[in-house]
Amino acid sequence: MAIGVLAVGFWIRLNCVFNGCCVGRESRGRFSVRLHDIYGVTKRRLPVQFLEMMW
Amino acid sequence: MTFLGFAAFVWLWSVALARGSYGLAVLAWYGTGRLFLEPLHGEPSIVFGRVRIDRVVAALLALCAGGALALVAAASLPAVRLYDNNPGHLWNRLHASLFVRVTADGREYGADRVDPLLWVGSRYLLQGPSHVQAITLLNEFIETHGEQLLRDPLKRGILQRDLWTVFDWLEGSHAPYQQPQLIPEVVRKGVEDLRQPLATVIARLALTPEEIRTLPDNYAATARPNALPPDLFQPDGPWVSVGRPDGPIARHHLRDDGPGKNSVFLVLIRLPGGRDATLKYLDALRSFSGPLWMHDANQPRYLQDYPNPNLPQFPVGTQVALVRRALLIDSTGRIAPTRLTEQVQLRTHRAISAMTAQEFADAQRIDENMFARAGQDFEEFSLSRAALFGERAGGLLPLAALDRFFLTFSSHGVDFFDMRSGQSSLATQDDPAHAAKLGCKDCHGAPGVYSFNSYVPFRLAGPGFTQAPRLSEISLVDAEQVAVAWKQQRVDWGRLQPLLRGPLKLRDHPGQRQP
Repeated sequence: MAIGVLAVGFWIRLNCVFNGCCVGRESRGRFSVRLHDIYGVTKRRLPVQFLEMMW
Repeated sequence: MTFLGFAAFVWLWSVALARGSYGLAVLAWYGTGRLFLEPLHGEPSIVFGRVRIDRVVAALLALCAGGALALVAAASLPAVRLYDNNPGHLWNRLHASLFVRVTADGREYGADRVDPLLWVGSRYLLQGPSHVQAITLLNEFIETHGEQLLRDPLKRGILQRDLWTVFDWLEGSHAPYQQPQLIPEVVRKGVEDLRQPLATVIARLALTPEEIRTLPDNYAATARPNALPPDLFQPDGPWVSVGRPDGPIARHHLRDDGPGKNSVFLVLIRLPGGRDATLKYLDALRSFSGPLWMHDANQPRYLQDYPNPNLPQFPVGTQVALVRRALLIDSTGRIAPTRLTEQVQLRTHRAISAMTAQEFADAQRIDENMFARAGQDFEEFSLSRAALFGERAGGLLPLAALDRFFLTFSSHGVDFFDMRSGQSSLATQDDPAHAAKLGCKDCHGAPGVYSFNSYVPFRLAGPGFTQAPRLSEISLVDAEQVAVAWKQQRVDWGRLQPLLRGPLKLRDHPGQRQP
């Protein structure tokens, strides 16, 4: 179960990146990256999906 | 954070926790992460005008999973009620931390076992949560003067004896014969951390010599016909205590890496003809001057060496008993024998075959006929603290009372509780009494005198063993003194003794006052 939760959590957030959902706030900070939201609008944003994957 | 979480997960994986703990831990971890990262989202989901629902759900997940994990952990703490009816009593908690082992699926073993479930290869108590818990409880005992919680000399003696057994394990070998090997630095640190607190509590529990002398004779309270022979220790009775001139008897039990180094081992034998017949038989053994081993080069290799068939054989009906009694450390720092019997192993020879090469080889086979071939009844009684403190049958219970058998004597030193892959082997034992008897039969399966390992351990020694000891009668008092003298020479006693001096407030070296 433990490994399953970890694996599924990682997989879901990876899909969020491609889908554009759960996207991070717009940011001009050093660690911001260009990501698109669900409407296809690409901006520099906080990489929150990647942070959640890493967590 | 990722690294910390991963490291914690890897570490916890090696620790036996209750079922579901790892899943709950991951859920709690995941919920905590979402709780802190949610404010970074660009378009939060808002309900009721201002509530960030994702954050609320994450907080609830972390709280519920974390709370459930805490409940599971609390419920999985062993509840021991040996020294007091309250499992929270310090003595119960200390005993549980040293003796109770828990499998990955939450089953507890060892609470009332005569020896702790510790092996040469155990990581338990040397590292991880068990190590921290043991030190915490020992320090609590020292700081709060836990020795004053109970004044019953019997309970004090038993707890001291148990802690001393753990100390001896600590000072023993930690290099198992099988993988995995332990990391020497971890072992060294674990031993160093535990040594002094254990010794201090051992000293604090010391009874006066007078109190030790008045401890009960639990064997006498247990013995009854058709179970344990009531006349086993009867002076001039049919049983003869056997000694050897060069030290204690039952060498293999004493030399083993398993527990039992703070005990007196007594070997007693009884021939059906009574005391005189038994003494005459020991004379005959001493007088035997022939070779112990025969060699027949014409036989297949596994049959070439076998015991001499002309050894004086004892008759059918002969009984041999191995009795283990507790040693204690008294308030003057001396090792003191007691009348507390820890274990009795009894073998009765129902049939004795003539020795041949094939017979010797067959005695070592393990199959469904092995007990019939051995021609012996194997019985074993072990000390139960619950029964002893509850004044039930002197505290010695038969094998049938076991819920499970664990081999700590003459084992390969592997701690299956520490090995996740070993859990399956813990779950496949149907009959504990059968498993225990198999352990007896393994070394004592040969016919008659050929299984009397105090004379010649044919099964264990091999043809290189050519000098049999000159066995003779020894009084119980002399046997105890031999055991004490042997213990004084051991490395573990040499390390414990100086640590006792401070807590016992001994001004001179206690060893100098030992007779």
